[in-house]
Amino acid sequence: MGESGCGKSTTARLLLNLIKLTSGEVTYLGQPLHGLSDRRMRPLRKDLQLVFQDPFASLDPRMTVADIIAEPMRIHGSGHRDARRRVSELLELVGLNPEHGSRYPHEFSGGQRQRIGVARALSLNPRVLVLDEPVSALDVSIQAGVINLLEDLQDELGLSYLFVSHDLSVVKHIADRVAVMYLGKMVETATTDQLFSSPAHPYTQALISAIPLPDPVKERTRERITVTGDIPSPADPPSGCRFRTRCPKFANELSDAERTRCVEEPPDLRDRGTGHRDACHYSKAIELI
Amino acid sequence: MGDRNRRKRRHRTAPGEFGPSTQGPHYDIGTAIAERLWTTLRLVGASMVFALGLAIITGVISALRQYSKLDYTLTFVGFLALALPTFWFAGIMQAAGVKFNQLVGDQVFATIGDGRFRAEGAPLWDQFLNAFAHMALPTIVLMLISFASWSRYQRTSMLEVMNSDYVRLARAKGLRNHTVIRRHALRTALIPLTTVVAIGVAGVIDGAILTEVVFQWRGLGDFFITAVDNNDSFALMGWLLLSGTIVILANLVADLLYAVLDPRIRYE
Amino acid sequence: MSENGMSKSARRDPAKKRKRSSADQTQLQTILIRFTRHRPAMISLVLLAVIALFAFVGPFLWAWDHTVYKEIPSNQPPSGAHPLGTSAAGHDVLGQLMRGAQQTLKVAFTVSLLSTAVGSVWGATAGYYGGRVDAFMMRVVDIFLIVPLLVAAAAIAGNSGAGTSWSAIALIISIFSWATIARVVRGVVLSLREQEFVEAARASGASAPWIILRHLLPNAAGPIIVAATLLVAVAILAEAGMSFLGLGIQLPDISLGQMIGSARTAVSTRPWLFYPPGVLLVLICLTINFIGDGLRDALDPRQTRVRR
Repeated sequence: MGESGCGKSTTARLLLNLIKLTSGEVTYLGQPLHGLSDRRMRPLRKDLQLVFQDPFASLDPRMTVADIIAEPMRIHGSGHRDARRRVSELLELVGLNPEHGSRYPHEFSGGQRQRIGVARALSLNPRVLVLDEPVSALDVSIQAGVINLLEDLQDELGLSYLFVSHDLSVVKHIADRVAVMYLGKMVETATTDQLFSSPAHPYTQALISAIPLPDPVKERTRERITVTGDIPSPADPPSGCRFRTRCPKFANELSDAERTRCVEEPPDLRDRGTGHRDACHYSKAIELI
Repeated sequence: MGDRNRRKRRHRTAPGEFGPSTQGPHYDIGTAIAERLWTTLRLVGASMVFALGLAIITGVISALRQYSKLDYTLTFVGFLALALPTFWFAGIMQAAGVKFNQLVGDQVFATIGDGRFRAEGAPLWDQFLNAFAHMALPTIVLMLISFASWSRYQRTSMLEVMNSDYVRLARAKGLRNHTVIRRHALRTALIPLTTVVAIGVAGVIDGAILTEVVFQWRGLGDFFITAVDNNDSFALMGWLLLSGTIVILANLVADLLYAVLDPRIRYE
Repeated sequence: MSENGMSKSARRDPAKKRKRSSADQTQLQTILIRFTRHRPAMISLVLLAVIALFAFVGPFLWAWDHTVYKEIPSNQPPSGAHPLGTSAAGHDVLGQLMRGAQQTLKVAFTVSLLSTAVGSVWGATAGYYGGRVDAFMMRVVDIFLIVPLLVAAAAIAGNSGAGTSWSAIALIISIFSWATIARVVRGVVLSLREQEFVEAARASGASAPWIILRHLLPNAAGPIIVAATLLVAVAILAEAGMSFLGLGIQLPDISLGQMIGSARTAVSTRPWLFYPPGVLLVLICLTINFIGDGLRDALDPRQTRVRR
C-alpha cells in the first residue's frame, strides 16, 4: 500500500522478474528468481501470475476472450481441446457466461474485463497471484463485485495474494497483512488489525487518520495527523529517513539532537516494542480509530 | 587474370581517381562525372526548390480550406500526379513543347538537350533565356511527383497543428489568423516535412535519370545508364558514391533544419 | 454458479442482457462497412478488378497475343482488326497491352507481398527489442532507404546474369522496398509494446517470437495493410521505369514500361504506341492509391472525416 509513484507497481513487477533487479534478491520457495533467464523462468511463471490495473489495455484487442484466457495454457503446451474446456470453466468461475468466449474485449465493460484478466491469471493454476491495483480503474460500485470475487476465489482455490493498492478501505477489507511503502522503502509492516488499530510510523498514522469515518461524532472529534509538502523526487531522495521532509513528528515534536539522527541515519525496519515492524527512530503506536 | 588485376588496382585508387573504365582507356570516370555534375545538379536543385515551395503553399491552403472544392481538386490532382510515370509524362511534355513551339512559331522550349554550352560568352540575359528554354520542361516534369507527395504531407501536418491546443490558445488570445499561421503553426508543421524531403532526395535522383534520358541531357543520369549498359563497374561505383554523398548531405541539411525549426532540439 | 446461462452480473443488470444481440457485428464487418462508404475507393476497386480481368483473362479471349506475327502489318494505326494499332515489328498493340498489364501486376503484387513479409518481421523485431538491436537493425534499414530504388534495381538487373523474368525483377525491387515497410512497422510496434497486454504475455512466459507474431503484428495489421497497398503503386512505377530504360522486362516478353520505352520516338507520329500503356499505368496506380486511402480511412477508428 502507498501513494502513487512510491514504487508499488515496480516492486510487484520486480517480484515476478518482469523488470531486471539492480540489487537485492527475490526468492520463491527458496529458489532465487532474480537473474534467471527467460527460459528458466518460464516453468515458474505457472505458479506466479499477475493481474493488471488497466482493464482496457491489459487485454489484446485483436484476440477473442477465449484466446486471451487460453494463451498462458498454449504457451505452456496445452492442447487445443483441453484449453477450450478449461476456458469455459474459468469464465464460469469468475462469473461470466462461457458462451461469450468468442467475443472481443471491447464488447465487455470494465468490470467484466477485469474478471477476464483474473480468469487469464488463473488459467495455469498459480499459487501466488500478484494484483497490481486491480480495482483502481473501476467504478466504486463495480469494485465491490470484483473484490468479492477475489475473496471467493481465494477461499476456493487456496491462493496467496499480493495486493497492491493505494486505497486504504480496500486494503483493510481484503488483506491479512499489510506493508506500507513510501518513496521506494517499506515503512511499516503488520497484520491488518495491528496496522489499523495501532499504527506506529508517522506516515501510516497520517494515512489512517485521513480515512473518513461514518460516525459524524467520531469524525469531528478525532485527532488528525497531517502530512505537509510535496513528495521529493524518487531519483534524489532525502538522506537518512526519506520521510523526514514531510514528517509531522520531525517538524513539530523532535528536538534538534533527535532530528540529526533522522537526517543522518536511515531507519531500518524492525520491531520497536509495538509487536510489529516499522521504520522510524521515534515510532510510537497510537490508537486512531 | 584481368579481374584480379582490376581488384588490386581498386585498392590503390587515389582520391579523385575512380579506376579504369570499360568504356575505353581514354574515358576518365572522374572527369566525366565532374563535367555532368552541374547539369544534373541544377535540374535536381531547381525541381526540389519549386516542388517544395509549391508543396508548402498548396498544403497550407488545402489545410486551411479543408473540405472545400479547392481542397478536393488539389487532392485529386495530387493523386493523379503520384500515379503518373515520370518518363511517360516527360514524353508528353516533350511532344507538347514541340506543339507549342509550332503554334507560337518560335523555339520557346528547347525540347532536346541541356544547352549547357550553347550560350557561352553571350550576354547574361541570353544565357538566362537559354537556360530557361532548356530547363523549363524537364523541371516541371521532375518536380511533379515530389510536389504531389510533399503537398499531401504538408496538408496532413498542417491540419494536425491547426487542431492542436496551443494554436487554439493563440486564437483564443485574439491573435489574427494570419499571425497565428505564420508565427506559430507553420514552423511546427514544417518539421515532419523535413524528414520526408530528406528521404525524397533518393526519389528525385531516380526521376532525374528518367527525365534526362527522355530530354537527352548529358547529365549524371545518362552517365549512369551508359555505365550499366557497358557493365562498367568502376563508373557505377563512382556514381553510387556520388549519389550516396548527395543523399547524406541532404539528410545533414535536414538535421540542421530541425534545429532551426524545432526549438526543443539544440545541438551542443 | 449460474444455471440458466446468464452470468451473475447479467442477472443483476438487464442492460447487459441486451448487449448480446447488438454485439454480433464483428470487427471485420465494421471495417468492411466503413470501406464501402469511401466512394473513390469502391469505384477504384471495381476498376482494378476490371483491369485485372483484362490482363489475366483477356489474352484467352482476344485474337492476338503479345508476340510478333508475320501476318500482322507493322505500324498500322487503330483499326477494326487491331483496335490499338500495331507496332513497328509487327505486334498487335492490344495483345501487348494485356500481357504488359499482366506482367506489371504480377511484379507489383509480388514485390508488395515479399517486402511486407520481410519488412514487417524486421521492423517488429527491431521495435520490440529496442536498444542496440533496434539501433543496428534500423541502421540497416536506413542504408536501404537511402539508396534510390530505380538506381539500385537497375544496376543489379543490368549487371547480373539473373535474367529478366518478372520474378527476378520482382525480387530485385523487393530488395530495396522492404525498408519502407520495416520503418512503418517499427513505429507502430514502438507504441504498441508499452501496452499492458504485451506485458501480460510476458508474465505468462511468452517468448519474443510469440509476442511479435501473435500480438504485435496482428495489432499493427492496419498500418501494415495500408503501407503494403501503397507499396504496390511504388513497385509498379519502379518496374515501369526499369523496363523503360531497357533494364527490366525485355523482349520478347513485354511490360507497360517497356512499351512506352519503345515508343519514345513515336509520341507524335504513332501515338497509339505511346499513350495506351501510359494511360493504363496511370489508371492502375490511381486505383491502387485510392484503395489504399480507403483502407486507411476504414482501418483508423479515429477517422472522423465523412466522405461525400
